[in-house]
Amino acid sequence: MTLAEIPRPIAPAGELTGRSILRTVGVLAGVLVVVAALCASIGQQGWMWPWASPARLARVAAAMTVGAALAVAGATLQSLLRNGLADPYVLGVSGGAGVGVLAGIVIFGGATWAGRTGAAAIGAGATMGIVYLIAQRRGRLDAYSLLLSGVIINTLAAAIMATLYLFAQPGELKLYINWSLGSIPDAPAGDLLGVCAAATGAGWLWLAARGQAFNVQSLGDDVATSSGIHLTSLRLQTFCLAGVLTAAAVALAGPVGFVGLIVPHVCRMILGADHRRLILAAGFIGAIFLVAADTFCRSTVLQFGQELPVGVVTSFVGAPFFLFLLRRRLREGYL
Amino acid sequence: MSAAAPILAVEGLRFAYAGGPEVLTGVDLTAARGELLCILGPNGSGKSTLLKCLLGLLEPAAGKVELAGKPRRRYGALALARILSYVPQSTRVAFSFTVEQVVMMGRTPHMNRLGLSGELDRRVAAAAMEMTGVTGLASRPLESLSGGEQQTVMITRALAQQPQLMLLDEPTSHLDVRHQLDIYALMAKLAHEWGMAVVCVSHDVNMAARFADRLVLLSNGRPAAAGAPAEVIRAEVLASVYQVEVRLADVGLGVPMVVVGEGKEKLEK
Repeated sequence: MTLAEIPRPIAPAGELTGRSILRTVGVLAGVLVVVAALCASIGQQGWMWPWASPARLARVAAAMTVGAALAVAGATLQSLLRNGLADPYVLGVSGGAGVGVLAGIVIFGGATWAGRTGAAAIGAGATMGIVYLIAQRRGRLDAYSLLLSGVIINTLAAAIMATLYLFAQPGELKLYINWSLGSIPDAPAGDLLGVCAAATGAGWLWLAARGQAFNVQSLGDDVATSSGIHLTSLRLQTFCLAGVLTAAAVALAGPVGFVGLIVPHVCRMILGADHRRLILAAGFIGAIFLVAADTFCRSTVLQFGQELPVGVVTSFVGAPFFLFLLRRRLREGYL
Repeated sequence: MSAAAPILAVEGLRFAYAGGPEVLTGVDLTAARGELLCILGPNGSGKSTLLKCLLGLLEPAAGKVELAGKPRRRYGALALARILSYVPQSTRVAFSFTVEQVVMMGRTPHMNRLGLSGELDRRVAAAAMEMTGVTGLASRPLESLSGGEQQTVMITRALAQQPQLMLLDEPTSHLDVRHQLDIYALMAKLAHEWGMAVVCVSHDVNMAARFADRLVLLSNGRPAAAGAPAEVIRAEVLASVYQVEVRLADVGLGVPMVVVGEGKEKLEK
């Protein structure tokens, strides 16, 4: 008697179907549209129709892109590295971008926004290449060595930046610090926004389609391989795409903190660990979260005398909410 | 046991880690559907390396590994996963998956390109859970279960893969005696009642002798003895392989119990 011959029509109740995933996507997309429209209509001078200000719409789109990119990169990297503490910057992207920007400011006086974006992209690309070369062995990527080389390259980048501080003027340092806290630009260049949004969307969908492979690789390399998963290819795809997503976010807004670390955890706590839904949901929830946080930054300029960096707001809002979820899970007896 | 064609046939298998001495020095073994084969041997005798070669995680230097009459190399990853599944010694899952989710992961090689399950996948997973008795745990997170339950779930996952051959790497090494007994009984059931070939690497000579249809005793990377438990469980064979004094006691289980006496050093004095 084989398994399939045994008549047991009872399906596992919790197994995801295409329909249940689509339902989640529908609900989250609806919430995102409502939140984005609401946020686009809030300004310093009160309410206005969302389409009345194209610049503000662009800023909302930029915030959505950055939030989705960081959350998806964080979710997939945490899974790939089997480590809940991983965030999008663990591959050295932020460190490299930081060196690029600081060097641009100090050496070339590259104070324009476009110059900073270019310097960030070059720095991020270079460090990712170095991290890959260190971590790979004959083309195969090992999760642990990837994590380690990312951490070490970030440390090295911090040392380079500390050296550059010594040669920086106070004004240049202030410029760098503002960039490093991460903020959504007020009038993002249309081309850059388009490229980053397209890259984010493509990377997001590609990674989401690999959801079941991420699920199985959580059980360990040997089980994943014996389930027919090409681990080398999965790792390479994740490394490259998470890198592209992170670089897109950093190019648009600088290294915004917290979103990429916390949003995946929040999604897991609410929706469970199944990556087929998690990766899709993380993109939406990241976008919703960052649009809301950025709107708060925009609309409180007068109260604070200057715009708060969005990275600061995400931490202030995200940390207590995360602790609330954490405590609830601990009370239920497990993490 | 049925005299069916072997699902697994290994011949003259050799393997050495880069720059090291040969770990496997010529292994021959077969496993047929409907039988439980246990691979025994001291630490460093090549048991785990052999299993990794069978799984394709290591590429043997020489020899052949055939699955269902076809060289293992000729299978694609998915085709291989549909006839062979694997249960590790222990599993530490990075995130909180429920028992049901873990069992459904066994259906991965059968799912569509987006990794979504169909009606058959869900039916097979439910049947597998029913067979191993974990249906009641379905919505519990894996990490909240005891070691024995977790191992049963991992076997259920491998079962849901619907393989013809299941490989297990010391599945009872972290379990108490009661759960060791349960797991061995389950492996025997998989082989005898559901017609699977089950190959289990084991450290427990007595459990293996009691439940397995055949034993392979590895020593220095090659089989020192192979055959029915009564042929392998002989005091002089075990004594030379494990380098200990061995006594056999008949306790009415059908196979003698192995009792270990003094170690090699004392014997030499």
